[in-house]
Amino acid sequence: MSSRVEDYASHLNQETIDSVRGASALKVTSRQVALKAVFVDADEARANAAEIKNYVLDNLSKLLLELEANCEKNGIQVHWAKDAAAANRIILDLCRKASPEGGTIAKAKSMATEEIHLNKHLEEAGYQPVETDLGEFVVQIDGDTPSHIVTPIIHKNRRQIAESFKREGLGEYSEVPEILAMQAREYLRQKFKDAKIGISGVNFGIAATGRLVLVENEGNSRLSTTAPPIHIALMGIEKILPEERDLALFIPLLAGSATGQTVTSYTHLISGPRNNNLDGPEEVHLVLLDNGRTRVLNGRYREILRCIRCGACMNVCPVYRQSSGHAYGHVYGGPIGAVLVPAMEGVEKFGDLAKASSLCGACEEVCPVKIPLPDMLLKLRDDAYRAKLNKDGIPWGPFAFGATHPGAWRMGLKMLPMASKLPHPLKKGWTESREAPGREGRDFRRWWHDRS
Amino acid sequence: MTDREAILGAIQDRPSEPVRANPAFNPQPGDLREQFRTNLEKLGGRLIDQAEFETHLTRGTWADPASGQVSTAKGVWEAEVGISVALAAVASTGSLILANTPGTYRLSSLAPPTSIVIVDASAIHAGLAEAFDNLPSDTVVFVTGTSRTADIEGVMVRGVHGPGVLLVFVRDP
Repeated sequence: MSSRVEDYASHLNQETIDSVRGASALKVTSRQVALKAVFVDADEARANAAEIKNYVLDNLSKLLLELEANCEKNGIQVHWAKDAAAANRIILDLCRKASPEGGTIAKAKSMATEEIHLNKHLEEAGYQPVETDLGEFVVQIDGDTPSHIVTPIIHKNRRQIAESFKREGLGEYSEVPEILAMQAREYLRQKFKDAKIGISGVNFGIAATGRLVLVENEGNSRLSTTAPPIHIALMGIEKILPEERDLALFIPLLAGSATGQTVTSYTHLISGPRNNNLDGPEEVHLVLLDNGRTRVLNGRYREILRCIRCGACMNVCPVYRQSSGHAYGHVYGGPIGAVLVPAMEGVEKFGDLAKASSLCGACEEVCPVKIPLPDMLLKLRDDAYRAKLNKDGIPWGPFAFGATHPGAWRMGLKMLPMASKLPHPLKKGWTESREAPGREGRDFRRWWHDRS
Repeated sequence: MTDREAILGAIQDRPSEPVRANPAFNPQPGDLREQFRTNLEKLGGRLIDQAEFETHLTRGTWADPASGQVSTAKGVWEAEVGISVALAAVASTGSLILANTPGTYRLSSLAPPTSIVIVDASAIHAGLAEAFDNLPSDTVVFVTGTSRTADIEGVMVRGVHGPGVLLVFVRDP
């Protein structure tokens, strides 16, 4: 079985490869510059962050209960969803209560909502969810899916975006990024005003204070969580930090790793609904999502739950750069996706993703929470092999026998000149378009034996 | 069994001692006010003096009540300029910390295309650690430079949803 990533990449057009490769390379450089400028020792900061996230995973139920209690104290209503179906049902019920007649929903960028395919469910129920992050908006109007967890349209160039905006009636055709951004601003402004509900993800949930932390650059996330009367936030249960002080470490690590910034434009700490303020939502809901995470927590890929979704492993991955995020067949692509997806959804369905890696180790080098991604990819290959998934048609049995029995090996070598004259199914692929090379020169073993 | 019970039941904690965040940040040249200015300017913001600040007050601005200058001739969505008062600033990042205290808007620093923020010179923290240690319980936002996006071919565009112009008036006591 070949990997789906390989299959996808082999049909990818050069324009997409150029877009993905160029943008990824830029981000790799800016990440290095940003982290070096901020931290005395970026590796120490990464190790510190990894330890804090390990503490979170080791004390997760305690911290979840603490988060729940403090959110409720702040007036944030907490819901628990064991899987995608439960999360969709909870969110839909909240929408029906807030706006039974349907209507516009302003959506901030959130991978968790992508993971549960929330938009599809909202649309089927008569709502119009509008993605308000510029990249996610382009993805939505094109009926596409994000190809990167931080920069969703890394696979598109300005001409493609300009054509989409013209098609959707956002304005005159223009390839100037400033003009395209202003067309989107204009169009989405009205959506924010119309929206009855705002939906977002959560970057960090602070257990000690019950605050929801969202980071972003555009301002759409703040608008989505401020303008509509109801804000619903969806958060994976692992995205907890114990206390607010941890943000002084995690915010620059995330911003540096994701976009090469010291801090993103907006770091929003939401304490709850409006409280004698002149605006802000009247209700705030937090939906805590499991959807396979407790399964991962109890298995051999536990450390993948340290992930803070920066996308640095994708930017630096030679396989991702050549194949784009869509190749992975899931909302999470790149090295993080190749581990997280089979760990959450089962090696039976996604075990082939582990083959989409050269095991070069670059992903582990850049990971802000030091997840041992290459080790995990090897373990996944092992799991997939044990599940009898990675059959490549080569009869390895005789080779294994020869490799472990020196006598048989030597005998085999003596017979090789004869054997290579015989037809063999494995040779066919090679000899279809070329001649099989003949044996040349002396026998190595004889030379070694005779050399003194 | 509720989903809450199912999730909590599937987690077995391995109790351990909390780990403290102790990042070591590179020092920056200049005093706090100088650092704040340098970092703010890197991100497209600009310091203004009292005279320039006052010219904006006469331009049909929309102000946050906390600034003591309220003009609701235009709503917060229609205003050209929004004025907010920051609780504090962060020198090492050029951030402004805005707290949504009773009687204030969240949108005043977000919806108008130009955002003017007043901050007291005495309220500039050295770095993020000090800032996060001293937050009030209100909803808070750290504003670090203008609204921006690089979604189109990595080209930086300012003012995509939030303000593209950020002016800061550092008020001396």
